[in-house]
Amino acid sequence: MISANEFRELFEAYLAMHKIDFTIKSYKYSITWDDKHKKLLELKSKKKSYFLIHEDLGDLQSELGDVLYNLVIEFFRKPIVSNLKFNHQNSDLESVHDRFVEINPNHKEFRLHEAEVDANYVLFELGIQGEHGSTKKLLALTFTKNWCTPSGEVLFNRCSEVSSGEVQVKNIVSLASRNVKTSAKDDINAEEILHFKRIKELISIRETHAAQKYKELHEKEFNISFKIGSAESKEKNAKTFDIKYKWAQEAKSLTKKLVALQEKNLVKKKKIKIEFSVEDVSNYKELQVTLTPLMVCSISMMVFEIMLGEDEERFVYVPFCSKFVKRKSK
Amino acid sequence: MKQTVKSTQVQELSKTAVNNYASAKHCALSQLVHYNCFESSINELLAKSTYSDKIQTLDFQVNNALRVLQDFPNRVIIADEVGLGKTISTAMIIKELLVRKMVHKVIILVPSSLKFQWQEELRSKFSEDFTIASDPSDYEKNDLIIASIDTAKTPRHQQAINKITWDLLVIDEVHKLKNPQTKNYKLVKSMTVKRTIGLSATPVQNNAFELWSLLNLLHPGFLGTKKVFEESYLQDSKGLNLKTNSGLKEKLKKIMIRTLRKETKIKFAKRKISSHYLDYSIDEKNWHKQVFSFIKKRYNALQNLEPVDSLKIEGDTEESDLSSEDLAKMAKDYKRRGLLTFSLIMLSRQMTSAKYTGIKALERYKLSLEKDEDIRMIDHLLEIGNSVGMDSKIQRLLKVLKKIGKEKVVLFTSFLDSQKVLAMEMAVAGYSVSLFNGKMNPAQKEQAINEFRADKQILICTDAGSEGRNLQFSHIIVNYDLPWNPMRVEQRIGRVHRIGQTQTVQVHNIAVKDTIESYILDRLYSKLKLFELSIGEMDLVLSQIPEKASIEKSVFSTYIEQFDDEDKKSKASVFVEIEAARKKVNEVKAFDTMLFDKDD
Repeated sequence: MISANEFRELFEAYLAMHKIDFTIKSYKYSITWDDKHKKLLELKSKKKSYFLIHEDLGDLQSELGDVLYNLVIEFFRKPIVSNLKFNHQNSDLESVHDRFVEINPNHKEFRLHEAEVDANYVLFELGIQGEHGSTKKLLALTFTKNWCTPSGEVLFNRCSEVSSGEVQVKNIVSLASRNVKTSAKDDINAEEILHFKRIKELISIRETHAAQKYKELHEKEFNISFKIGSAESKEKNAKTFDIKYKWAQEAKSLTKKLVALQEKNLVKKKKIKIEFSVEDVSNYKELQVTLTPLMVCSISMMVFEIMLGEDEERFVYVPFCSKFVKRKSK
Repeated sequence: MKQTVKSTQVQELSKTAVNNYASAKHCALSQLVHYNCFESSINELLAKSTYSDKIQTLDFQVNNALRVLQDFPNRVIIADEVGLGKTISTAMIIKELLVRKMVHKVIILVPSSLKFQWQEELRSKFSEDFTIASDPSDYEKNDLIIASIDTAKTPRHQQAINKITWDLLVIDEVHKLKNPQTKNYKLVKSMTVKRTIGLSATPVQNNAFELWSLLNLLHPGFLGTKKVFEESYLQDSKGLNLKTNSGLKEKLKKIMIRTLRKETKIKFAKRKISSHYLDYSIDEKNWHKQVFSFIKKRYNALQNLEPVDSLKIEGDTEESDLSSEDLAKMAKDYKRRGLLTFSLIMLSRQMTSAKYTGIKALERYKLSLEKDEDIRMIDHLLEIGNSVGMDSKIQRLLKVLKKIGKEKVVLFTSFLDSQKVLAMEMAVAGYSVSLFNGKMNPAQKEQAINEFRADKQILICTDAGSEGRNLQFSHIIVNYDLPWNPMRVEQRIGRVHRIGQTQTVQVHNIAVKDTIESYILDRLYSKLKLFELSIGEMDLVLSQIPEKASIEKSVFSTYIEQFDDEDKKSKASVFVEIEAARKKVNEVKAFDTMLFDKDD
């Protein structure tokens, strides 16, 4: 949940971005709404005051009303594109050095230098749908062609705008999507386990069901076979030719019945095979992951490149998200 | 794992103009909102604020929708008891999945008679425009589709449906798909679907084996083979007695949601039925006798014709919406095909409505005749009709209305002609009246309802108004003429007798003694206590009858055969069937309670 203070920040930014005049005096916001908002908020007058002194978001929300509250939240939820520059200060060099020493267990020698890169940031909504149900997660990636890191919350407040230059949304999203499988490995694996567990259950249900059906068919065949055996035995032990003939006929008739039943069952077995084949489960066999980009940013930033040991294993420290990342290749 | 990127969103974002790129602050605040207001599962219905004012969601509906969205596997059956608003619950689920962008391609398979009702509910209450599939290309072109299952199973449609991976399939009246040999069943089996919701108010119509068949469609093998099912859960092969502690109830809870009325704690309004009988004047009696003698003569002549295909009056036929020309054309067409019984049924029904309607009906019937002798007979009947004085039935209606006082009344008639004459008479008597019929366009209909809600006392409504409209701000219904099919009457009452009605629903029926209408009112409605069924139960009863569509014909044939014949007093076969169906429904209800009651 966001706090009351955070919401006040959102609210003020919303007003500023919509060029709506407002003044604040002791937490009392006096706002002159434009026509669009007047209509949207069903106000009688354009001017309206709100007391945003509440520390509890719930109270703040009731002061504003659900419509205005949702309007602000939904505005900042809308997908956006941005072209930014991350403002980095050189003084970080020493602290990066010290931090890398800490995570360099074999104390290999390393070289550290700054580099300017054109990186990207994408925030995805990750929809994961399996046979067990569905879930949603957020996945933020900061990346270039050479490295990628899941980045959680990042330092947008230390960025500034780049005045021109088009952001290649399609390329950036496509590049980001190639890293999802690795970056969200744990989340996807956890869902995949549940998904396959459910599929296994489904297959087991089907197989048990098919087996039971086969068994029921065989039982009928077995019953007739048993009767045939009994008739043949009676024919063998008959004391008169009449009785012998009677049981021989009975056995013959039952055999005919058995053959007919077996033919019929053959068709039924084929049907069972089709109807309860686990192939049917294949319709939903795969775990479905849907990526919805919510924020796409091109960010020019300074990073620290680290070359470690003789084989020059390379790492990158990304101040934008405070992460060490291993480079994909030299 | 199959990974897809939502390409529509990417395209949308690509269109962002450079001068509209978000600022760093905007990015920081968006990040704040995304991370702090994100929900990984569905804990509330986000779409709730988008529902129309016309809908009052009930707690159990919201809970059911949330349960389906959170806890259930991708294939689930919603089997709430009749009258609890399954369509609304399902529409809430569809809307939520759409708002959350969890589904994109949605198809609803429904019985043909319900497709417009579904479309209207989704449009007016949830602002979702579903297209009714009429051409195979519709499935590809539209993301939200309603298809009649009979249309969908035709080879061309099925082929088009099978080319698509559907995110959500909803099957209304899913119990009708329980037979694996049918095309309906095969259609559903052949579809590629990610989520399925089946709806049925009657998972058990005759015995527990139907429940097995139903679940076997969506979850093959879940309850084992039929034999295993019987051995494990049932006391005998009749399928109406459960073994104790069989575990079936618990198993069903995993894939099925069934809410019973008593669990909802909703107070359903009671019904009070008043039937007002009257006598015709001598002139009216004489006229009716002569017309019905003529109808009997025509009917007898029809029986001697070469056998033709049996006549069925389609459940959807809106006779009140047909113009004189249409009716005349229809009469000619029916004559051409030898299906004249329909015209006679229509004539009989119109004769028992208003005098004016009877005269108009005779004039139209005349157009279908060829023999001079018959035409002369009609002229004679018209002459008598025109000389008959006051319409006693309308006079009786005025008395009933006077007794009702100033409360709002929905006055139903089956015929446009009757609506006209009633409107005139009501206006003369000083009542404020609003009219509603199937000839009106949606805006006119809306206006009529709004006027009635605001300041008119009486809404005169044809049966076109008895479907899909919620008039629960009124609680009094007057059936000026009585439909012969009980389902129609139930639909009329259903406009005011709905969840949320707080007052006792008054139903007034007006019938003339010794007419086919009083015959139906006595033998069908009063004796079989059909008016006393709970909301939605009529559907259960009628679904037990082999041929629902032949109710009118059965009633008509029995009545007309014994008309003017003191020795013949037989009961229409359909009455016997309905009586048996009522008994069966009670038996099944007892089993149903045993199976789904959460109180045990």
